[in-house]
Amino acid sequence: MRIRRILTATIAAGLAVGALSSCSSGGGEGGGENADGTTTLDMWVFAELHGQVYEEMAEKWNEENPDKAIDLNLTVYPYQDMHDKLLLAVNSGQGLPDLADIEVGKFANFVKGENPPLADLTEAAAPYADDIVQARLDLYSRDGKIYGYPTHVGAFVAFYNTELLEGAGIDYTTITTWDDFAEAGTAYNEATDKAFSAASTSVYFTEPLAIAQNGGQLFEDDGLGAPAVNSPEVVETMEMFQDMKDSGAISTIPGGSPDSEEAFGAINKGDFAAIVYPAWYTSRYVDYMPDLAGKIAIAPAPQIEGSDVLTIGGGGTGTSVMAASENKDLASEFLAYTKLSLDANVAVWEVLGFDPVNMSVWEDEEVTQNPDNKFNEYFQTNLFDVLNSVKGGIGHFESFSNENLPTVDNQFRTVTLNEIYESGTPAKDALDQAQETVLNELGE
Amino acid sequence: MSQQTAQRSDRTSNAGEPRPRMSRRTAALIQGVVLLAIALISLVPVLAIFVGTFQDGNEVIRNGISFSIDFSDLSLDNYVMLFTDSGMYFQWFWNSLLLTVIQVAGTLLVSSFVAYGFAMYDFRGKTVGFILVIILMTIPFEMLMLPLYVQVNDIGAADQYWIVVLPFLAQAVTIFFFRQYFLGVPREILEAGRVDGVTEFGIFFRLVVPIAKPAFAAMAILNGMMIWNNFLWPLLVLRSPEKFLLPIGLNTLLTPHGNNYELLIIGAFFSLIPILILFLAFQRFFVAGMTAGAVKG
Repeated sequence: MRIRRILTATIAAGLAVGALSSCSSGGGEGGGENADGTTTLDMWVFAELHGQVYEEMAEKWNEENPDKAIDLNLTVYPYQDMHDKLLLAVNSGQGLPDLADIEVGKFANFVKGENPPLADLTEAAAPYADDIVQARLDLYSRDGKIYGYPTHVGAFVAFYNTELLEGAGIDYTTITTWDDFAEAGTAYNEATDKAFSAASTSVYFTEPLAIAQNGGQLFEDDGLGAPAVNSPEVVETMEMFQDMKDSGAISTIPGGSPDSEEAFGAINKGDFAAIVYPAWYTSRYVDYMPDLAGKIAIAPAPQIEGSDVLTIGGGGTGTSVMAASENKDLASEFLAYTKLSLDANVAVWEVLGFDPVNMSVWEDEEVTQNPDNKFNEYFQTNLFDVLNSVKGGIGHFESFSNENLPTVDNQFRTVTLNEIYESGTPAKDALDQAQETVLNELGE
Repeated sequence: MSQQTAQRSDRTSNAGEPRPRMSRRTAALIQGVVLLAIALISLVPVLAIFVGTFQDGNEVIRNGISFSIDFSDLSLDNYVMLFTDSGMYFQWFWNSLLLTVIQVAGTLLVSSFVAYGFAMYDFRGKTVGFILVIILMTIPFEMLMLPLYVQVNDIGAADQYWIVVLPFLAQAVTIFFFRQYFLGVPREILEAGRVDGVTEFGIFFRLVVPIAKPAFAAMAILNGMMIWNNFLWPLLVLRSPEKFLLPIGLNTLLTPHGNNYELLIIGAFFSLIPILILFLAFQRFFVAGMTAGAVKG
């Protein structure tokens, strides 16, 4: 009786251990060559779709480089948690992948100090560098060294609902400057009593475009120094947006930003006629606003008269190689091919619908004018025609790389934008208050 | 004071006999209505997510919780997708289930052993040991996270399930709870067992465990819920997507580049089921276990 019980307990324990250990194979660190001659590269990403592009590119890489074949071990983690886990791994120096996607807003955390935990990718980028939008490489560079490769340009453009605008007697092609934009918006609002464009309260995104066009930054020393959110250029820009809100040219949008489910519904219903957002917003139209197919024209973003900056890049994901990776050189070479080569950038456009950073794609009409492309089918005008028209004026907004941007951004998203757009606090007062709060928070 | 008493007795005598019974009935009715309302309010999220499983996920997020259900919008598409095209969902589900069962069983066994020692045996350092257990309850996981992570990588145990389970087999809260419960078990039972020649393990498993069933049930539910929803530690040590647990897997469906709300909503709904079954199975012991543990300290 007792022996039977002991036997039963032993079998149960054995089964439990077996179940756990059967799931434990395949772990361990990457590094070194596998038996089949490939080298395993561990990669962490936070978007499954990005992973698909990397896997496609890994297959192409292996076909073209059989002597340097890789086995890409890709893990998709939840967005915020992937960055937290990477930060923990970087700080402890253990459990690091070879490659990782890092969202632009988080990138500053990984390039602090004299010896960042990311590998210098400058040399690996050299074969492609001439074709790449320099502003986007600058975004992921520190002290002249490239630590990450961009995924897209994210150039700000304007999306106009031509059906609604024509109904109100407005010709979007006459809009060149922010003044034109404000005038058209006010006229549209008066004619239809509906919103023209969006005033975001939960993201601080479109306003920095105009700040850059005004020659300003959110931080001192051309965006690299201490916060300066009440500088004359920022105040002037925010007053311009507040005037637009007061005149009805822009209105607050459901969800707080155009990039939210609530906003997609409102825009799809025709509640907003114009959206100024990065070029990757094309995918939002195609995926979430099917009713507007054939009605949306893409045009250059409004400009400030006399400014050299016609647009800037917004948002993005930098992909980096860990400095501690045993396969740093191979990973860097593979990453340059995966992110910067012509093939990779065609995939970025065709799979993800993002504006690719390799400008040779912009001139390849077979790709850009392909009538079967779902993005080309959806929009009235061609995205690449717009990009080519602003090619010489893509600016780098240095403030997006400042390590204190998350603090400033948080202040704007939670307090300042609401004060300016909702409470009617004069922009100058709201910005003075924001400056004081941000400096207090940062202990400066 | 006496005036007040007089007034009260006046009211009673004026009301006559049936009145208090009526008011008791009214009170019970009000109590019932209030409790029913609270029960309905707490059921709203479950109902909303259930209805959401039949709707377009993006529409649910756009419109929020809506009680006006348009039956023409409801479909079984999400269910079809879940069972035919949900990627690794069921793999994650199974992983979570397996780990929850093993970890709950392990935690109950180890923690009850420790608690039994503290409650039933006298040995040197017992008080200090128990105080250390209580202190352990005050240390948040975030403080242990980094050293544990380094240790796991040092011994090359990352991405293995046993390391998800092992560090948390002895749960301070569970030990504390069991100890309080065991203190209420008469030591005479142990003595009787020893006189009858039962081994110490035999006394624990054959005499004490049957008495402590409510405590085991309560701890099974609490630990089961905690482990089923466990997120941070598995996230830190697991690396292969096929080994992810359900909370991690479901979170990967939310990205800055678009969210898979369809799978998220129906996936979250199905993830409620094991906990619901666990709760229903042990429900009758649960309240008894919680209160018994609370008062017998």
